Amino acid sequence: MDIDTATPEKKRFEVKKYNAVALWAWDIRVDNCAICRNHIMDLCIECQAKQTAVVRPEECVVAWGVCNHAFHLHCISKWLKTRNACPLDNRAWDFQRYGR
Amino acid sequence: MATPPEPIDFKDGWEFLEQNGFSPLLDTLEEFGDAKLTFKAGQLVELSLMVYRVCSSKQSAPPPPPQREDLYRRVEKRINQYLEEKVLKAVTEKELHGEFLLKELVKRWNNHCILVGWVSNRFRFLDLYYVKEAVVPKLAVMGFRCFKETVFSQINNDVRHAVLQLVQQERSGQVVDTYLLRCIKDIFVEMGMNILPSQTHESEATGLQVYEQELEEPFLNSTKDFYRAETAKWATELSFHDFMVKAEQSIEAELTRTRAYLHQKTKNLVRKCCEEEILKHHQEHVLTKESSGLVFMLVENQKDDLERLFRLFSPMGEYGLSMIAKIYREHIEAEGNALVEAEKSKMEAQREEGGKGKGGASKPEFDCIESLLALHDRYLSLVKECFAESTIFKDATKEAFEAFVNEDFGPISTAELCANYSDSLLSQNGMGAKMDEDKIESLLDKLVLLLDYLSQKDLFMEFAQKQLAKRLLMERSVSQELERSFIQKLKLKCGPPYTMKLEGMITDINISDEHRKTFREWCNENQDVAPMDTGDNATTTTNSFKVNGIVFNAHVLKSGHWPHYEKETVKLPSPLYDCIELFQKYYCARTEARVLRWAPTLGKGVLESTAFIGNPKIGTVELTVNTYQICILLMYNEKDEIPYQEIYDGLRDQAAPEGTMYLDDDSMKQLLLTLCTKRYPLLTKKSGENGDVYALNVNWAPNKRQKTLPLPSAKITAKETRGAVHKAVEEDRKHAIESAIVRVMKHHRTLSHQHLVVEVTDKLMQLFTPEPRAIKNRIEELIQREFLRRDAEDQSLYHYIA
Repeated sequence: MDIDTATPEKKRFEVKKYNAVALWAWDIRVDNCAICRNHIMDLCIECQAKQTAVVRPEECVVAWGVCNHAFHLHCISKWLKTRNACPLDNRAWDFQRYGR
Repeated sequence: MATPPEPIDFKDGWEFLEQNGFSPLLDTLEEFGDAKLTFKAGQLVELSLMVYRVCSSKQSAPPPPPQREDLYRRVEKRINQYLEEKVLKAVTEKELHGEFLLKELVKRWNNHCILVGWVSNRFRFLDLYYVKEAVVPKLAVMGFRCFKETVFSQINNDVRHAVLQLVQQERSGQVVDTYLLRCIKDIFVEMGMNILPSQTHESEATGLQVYEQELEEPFLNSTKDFYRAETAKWATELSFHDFMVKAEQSIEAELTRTRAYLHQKTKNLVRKCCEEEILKHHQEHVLTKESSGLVFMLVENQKDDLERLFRLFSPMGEYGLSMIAKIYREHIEAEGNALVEAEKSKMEAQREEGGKGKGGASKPEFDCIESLLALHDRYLSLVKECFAESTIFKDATKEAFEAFVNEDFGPISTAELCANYSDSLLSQNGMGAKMDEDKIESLLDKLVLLLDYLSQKDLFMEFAQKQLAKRLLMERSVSQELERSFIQKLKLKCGPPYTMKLEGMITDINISDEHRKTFREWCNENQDVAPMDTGDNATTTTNSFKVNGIVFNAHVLKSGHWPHYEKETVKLPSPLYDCIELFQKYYCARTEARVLRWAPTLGKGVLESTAFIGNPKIGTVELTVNTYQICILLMYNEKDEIPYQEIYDGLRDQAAPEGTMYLDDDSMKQLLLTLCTKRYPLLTKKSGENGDVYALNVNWAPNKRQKTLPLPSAKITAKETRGAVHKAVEEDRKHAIESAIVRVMKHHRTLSHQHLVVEVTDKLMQLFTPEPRAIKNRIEELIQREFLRRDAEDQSLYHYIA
């Protein structure tokens, strides 16, 4: 335990151990998914309604379009089945990136 | 081949039948009550032959010879004559009473049955060839009808009177001839059965109408009268217990009686009649008897009597039980309210004393939950053991508990108390540390049942979430298995959405464990970006992975699952900063589109120090401290005394973007206070003209090598935190109401205000009971935000705007 570091004189206080805690969130400004109105950090409304199995959080992610609008991937996928446009600005939709 | 018998003159024929048939038969019947020995086989054949001869005519073509009708009428007349002359006389003229009358009647009836049987057999020719053509009753029917009209209708009042008298005698304890009574019952039944089989009116379909009118109804009436008089005495004189015993015995006795000598269909009527008279009539009076009524039984926990009570009243269905359930509910409610009051004043006394009573185990707030659990336990087992788990009592229990469980205990709500209790059960610092897991499980089971009655389940969740977060991050959980099992129980009661966050937290902790491993692998693979003392790392285990000589580990939590932690940040000294930077690189490489926000309040570490020389036996101390405390203490590597302002500035990054939040003045002073306590005087405060100065107290004499410093953020029960929780709950409720409104409207498109409120309330009941006003406010808000609009004509109608 007392293996000294190479520094010539021992300091009064030395950090031996550190447990950090961080909270992660999607890199996004809005709070809610404009399609299902659930909080973007929560599950989408469909996943939330699944009364049975536990939805693994990594299954319900957020997706960005080229227009930089973000929605739950489940929500926007469903939307795109009827119209290939962003629900917010009506521009043609193309996926830019997915949360992971 | 024998020639067919010659037709005979009617008068001669009848003469023969009378002389050789009726006359000897009736004589023997009178004498012996039996007819088997009257005729020899040959005689019977002769008689039948004579009937045939009387009935046949010389010409074989229809119409049927008139003598057939003559013969039919003659037989009828003969039977009536016999009944009038002998039978009626026997049963009326001897002035018979009671049992004797009944016995005589039964004897005469049996004789009559023999007579009718004999006539049917001998005169079968008439049944076969005459009855159908002339549309008259068969001989047997005709015979019974004669009895009814000539005898029965004359004496049935007397008979009934005698029967009821015997019943009365039996009720008063005498032994009576039940066989005789059963025979009488059969006569009454028979009188209806065979009288007019061709005319089946609906009411006569059962053929029991004579029995019903002549015997059953009077019997029921007399039963009613009897018990009305009887129970009036019982109700005033007997205790409730004795009353029920009597009632049970009486009903049983009446049912036995019915089985013994009444028709089986009467059984239900008798039961109903008894229930009416004995139970229903006095129900309220006896139930509320002060010194022996239902409340008394509940107080004394007289399970036998309560079971009897249920047994007696439950056949009466909802009606019988509802009054009992009401008293039962009111009693629990009163008991519960008293309990709440008592615990409340106990807690108040405790608060006034001001002593925190560090005993831990005997905290009054836990006593209170435990007494609630005990109370609930008691009534649950009562419902199970005495009330057959019937729904009406389950509901009554629920209603009663809901009424007082939702009372606040002074400033603390039951929701909070329950949360604290569960926290204590699940925490290594609480009661859970001293119990085995089965005990904890069973207490949690009971707690969840109680929680079901809370109208503010969301408030409980808010506390529970904070507490679970603390247990997980501080590694204070008794076991993760118990945590999971508790979450599972909550989920079963309140539905999956309720526990989603808790489950997410457990998942996050497990993901963090995975990160610990993969982070290490990543560092080894990316030596260029990960400067570290590799020599060390090659030998260390996964649990102590070192970055720049610091054993480093990071938890990454999904915001949203976890409580809202303060957004304050801190300027980290380089050793910590390096660790975090490295981890951030790793994390961003593995994920996409995520941002990390470090929470210094939650981070903690171990400092090794040689600064304190107060205790010569201890050279180096290990201090467990949080991020802020590390930052402050590291400053003393350079200096011995530091003014407050310098410390304050030292924790702030001057180059940080605008809007970055740091600890405010108050929190900073609180924080410094934790380093200047009596137990842990690491620093000493000196007040000077230019503000406070904090000096390192090198003379501190720690008594142990390892020390954990108190944390300023540790108090979740502090008033401020409670206020914050309530505020957070308030906010969450707004969200919950809004999303419920949107969901309902999305489904219905157009809805009236009233329906909307009802549906929204219904949706939210599982979590909390929203006030109509709150819902209205949310609706207004949503109209402003253009989710909904009012109907142009009907103001109370809303449309959903897609």
